[in-house]
Amino acid sequence: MTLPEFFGCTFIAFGPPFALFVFTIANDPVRIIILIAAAFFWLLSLLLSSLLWFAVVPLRDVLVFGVVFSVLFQECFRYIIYRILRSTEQGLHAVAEDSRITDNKHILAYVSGLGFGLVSGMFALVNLLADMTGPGTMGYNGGTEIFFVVSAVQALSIVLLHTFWSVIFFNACDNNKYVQISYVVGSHMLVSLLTLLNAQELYKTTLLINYTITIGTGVLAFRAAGGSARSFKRFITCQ
Amino acid sequence: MDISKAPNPRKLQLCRTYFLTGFAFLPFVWAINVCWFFNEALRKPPFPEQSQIKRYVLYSAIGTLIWLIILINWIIIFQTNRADWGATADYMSFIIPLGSA
Amino acid sequence: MAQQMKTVAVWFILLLQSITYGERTRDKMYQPIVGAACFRRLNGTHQIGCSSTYSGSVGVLHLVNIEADLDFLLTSPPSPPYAPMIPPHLFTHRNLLRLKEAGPDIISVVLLINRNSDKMTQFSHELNCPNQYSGLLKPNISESATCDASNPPNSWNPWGTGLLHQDFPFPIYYIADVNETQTLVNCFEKFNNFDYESHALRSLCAVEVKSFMSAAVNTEVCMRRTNFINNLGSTKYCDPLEGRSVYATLYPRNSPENLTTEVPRSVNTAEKFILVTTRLDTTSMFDGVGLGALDSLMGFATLTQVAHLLRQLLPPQGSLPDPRRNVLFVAFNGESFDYIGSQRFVYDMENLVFPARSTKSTPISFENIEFMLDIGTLDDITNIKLHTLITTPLAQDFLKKLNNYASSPRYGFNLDIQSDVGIQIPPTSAQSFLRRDTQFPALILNAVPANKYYHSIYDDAVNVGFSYANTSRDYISLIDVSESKNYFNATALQMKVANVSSIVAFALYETLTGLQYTGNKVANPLLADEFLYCFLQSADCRLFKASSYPGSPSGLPLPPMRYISVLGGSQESSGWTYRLFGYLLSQPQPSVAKENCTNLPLHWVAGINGTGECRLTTQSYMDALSPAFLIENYDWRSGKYSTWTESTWSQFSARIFLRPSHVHKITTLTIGIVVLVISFCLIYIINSRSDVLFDDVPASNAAFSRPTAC
Repeated sequence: MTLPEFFGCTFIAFGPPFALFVFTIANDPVRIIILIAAAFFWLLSLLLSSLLWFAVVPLRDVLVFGVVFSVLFQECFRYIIYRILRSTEQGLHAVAEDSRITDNKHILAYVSGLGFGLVSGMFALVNLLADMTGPGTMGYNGGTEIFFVVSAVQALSIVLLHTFWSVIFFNACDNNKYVQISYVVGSHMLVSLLTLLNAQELYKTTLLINYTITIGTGVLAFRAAGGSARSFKRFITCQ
Repeated sequence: MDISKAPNPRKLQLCRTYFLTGFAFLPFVWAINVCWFFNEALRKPPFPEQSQIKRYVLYSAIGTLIWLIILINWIIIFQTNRADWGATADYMSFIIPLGSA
Repeated sequence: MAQQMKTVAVWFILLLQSITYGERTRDKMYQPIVGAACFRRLNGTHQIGCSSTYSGSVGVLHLVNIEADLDFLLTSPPSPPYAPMIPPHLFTHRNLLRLKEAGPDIISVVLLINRNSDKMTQFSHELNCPNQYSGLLKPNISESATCDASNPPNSWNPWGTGLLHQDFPFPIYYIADVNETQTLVNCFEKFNNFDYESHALRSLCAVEVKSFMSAAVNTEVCMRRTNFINNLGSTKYCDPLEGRSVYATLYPRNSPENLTTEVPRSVNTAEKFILVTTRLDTTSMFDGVGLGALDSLMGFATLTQVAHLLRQLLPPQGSLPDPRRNVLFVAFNGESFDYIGSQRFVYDMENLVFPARSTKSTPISFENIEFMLDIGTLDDITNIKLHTLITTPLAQDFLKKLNNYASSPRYGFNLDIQSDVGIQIPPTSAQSFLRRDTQFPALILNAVPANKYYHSIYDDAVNVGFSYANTSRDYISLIDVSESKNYFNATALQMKVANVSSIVAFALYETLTGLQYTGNKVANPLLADEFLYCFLQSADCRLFKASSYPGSPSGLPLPPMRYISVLGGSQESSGWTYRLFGYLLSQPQPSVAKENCTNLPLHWVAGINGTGECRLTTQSYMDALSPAFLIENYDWRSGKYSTWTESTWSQFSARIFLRPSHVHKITTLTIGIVVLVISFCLIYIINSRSDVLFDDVPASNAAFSRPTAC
């Protein structure tokens, strides 16, 4: 039994998102609803991707095709949820006990992004987690032992990236910054395609690039949400 | 239901009903009674029915405790002796484990 | 520039495309291994066999080449539990008991592999005294008087290890296929077979075997639990061993019975039967493997051929000196497990329910039996003995007849059958009859034991030295004594079977007709050839085809399984036997057309040419389920009847994979916990000071953040 492996990987991938959920989402019912709604929209995009995959029979074995269209669908649904949230702002303002959610537009972006990320990370990892509970580990027929840990770390980066992307994306849509929107779509595409390299066991390379992009995107999102070097410095120095 | 909104006589009636129901071999009802009325009985500022509620809660707690001791003992005795008791234990069991005595 | 970007993108996508394909992670982690598992059987007092743990037993592979390898595993295992891969010559009683003693913490799985099988000199998992507790008993002792277990060389199975009757705390898995064995060995060499000090620190090639058994303790417990029904419905823990015995009479019986059920059945005392019996089944330690070539098929082949020969030699029943005489041939099923078939036969005869009412003929009782000739094991035909409990004129007379033909220069069989009188009689069906009544006239033909693979997976065509002649000649007609020597040399298995069959058949002929047999026709060795091919190599064979309905689907290209199994099991061997008796022991009815040949006893068979012919048959099935399961409130410990049951199981499977080391597992878990804790701290701090971090947010937000100390 490798239950330790199972729990280890689950904590790695979903520990930070869980902490985010506990401290920033759980105490506000409206945020929970939006989180679930965002997750649902991500699922809808998955449904469309799989329908397309199912319909285009000759390309079923071609992973790249599926990945590209899946990314496009996800971004479309990100835009749709953006439109919906913005159009329901008045209603939200009326029902929300906590008015911050409508005052600070980044919160909505962050919550829906986390919803996107959580469900996408889950789908990325659940199959693996199921395989992890068995008595064996990777390595008999090729593959390395660290495969599971790498996958978990990658899933974590996807969750974080989705959160950042949504913050940037919503902000860019509000301000018509098309460069940022294309950055979101482009980096999403790049990260997704990079994971295909895992078949060649280039784990170090993909992880390195992945986390570089994650940190870069994180900084962008930080800026978009109103952070700055000055505020960061103040934060670090406890002022 | 929210117990804090109920009038005091109603609380007493509820607490008594739960206490009496527990005698029908329902220790969980006693346990619930204890949890539910614990604050009313011991923490709330005094009100006329409180002493009675306190009594019921106390008796329920004692009943729960006795049941708990009985059940724990029985479970330990049964699990350690199940294989030795043979047919008797099988007839007592609802689900018999596979592949062992 | 844009053009370049496009080229790069296309190239990138093509690169990805060339190296990726969808594959489930599980497929990369596990490789299934095909084999046969040892399973659990239970009797009135014990459980025997093997079971894995509920979720499957896992052990690190270790190839055992010499005994020292086992010593290493048992004395200083670096990273237990282990799964030793044991070649057959080391699969001994002593070694297995050592593994059992080590316990499931050290040895969790045992694999029997087909390597170095040339080093094996013997391999029998049966007891030294087969059916030790159910034969003819010593007074007041529940042990067989007919065999001395304390003196193995003088027992009925001197090479027996008794492993079949041991209970093992681990699963044993037999891997017959050499390629599968090689896969295991390769995995062992690649991941395990070096640097044993660091075994505990690295991932090792391991095997998982799933063969979980539901039943436990003994038949009494598992039958009680099976019969126990609660609100959720019942669970099946075990099934009684159950099959069908097959019997047939030489002449169709002429003793009809009134079908009204109110009248008790009564025996027609005028009928006289000579009972000729043998054992139909065999067994081994592993599910679905084991042909029992020498331990029971020889006797079965002989019985079939005797029946066929008598059918052709004898005149019609009416012209016999005693026209009420008949021969009853029975192939008992389940004899390997305390004589299930013969115990049931005796029980049914005592209760006047044999044959069943549906046959519309009177029951047969012990009064009808003139004597019994039981054909046991025929390991070495030059050393056959006629066993009886006491000296009787019948036995002496029959032995004289046998030897008359065995040594006759006319046929050139050159055999000499000895007499063996005394309590030490072989473990054959006759014991069930003698147990009821020691005066029962039973004659047992049995050779001195010489089978080193009794009741084992290696008792196969090689063990009996069988090679299929595949002559495509007529195997049904009798053959002239001079011609019979043309196809096989004198030591060939087919000749041995044919010769013994001829001798027995001639002796029975003489008993029935009162005249010496003087003809030149003898049993056809080609029939033995076809018969043995069907049962040892492939059920898709000429003899089976000839005895089936024309155009019916042919058998599988595998030998039929002859283990008795349970109700709902394949029952292949009894089915084929039924058809064989229907063909070889029946009278052709050339005048009956196919349309009229539909109701038993008339039966339409393909025949040797496959064109179809009508036959007047006499064969029938009989339940081979121990009477213990019929008697209300039977005392399971009484030892009176066979109580064998087989546990139920959900699946047999085995697979190999890398078992992660403890270090790896703990590291992963630790990293996970550290990440979790750090993220909780970090996010709490960030969240509580978000107003500092995001200073551009509207002022109203500031009110909500909690002040915190940094």
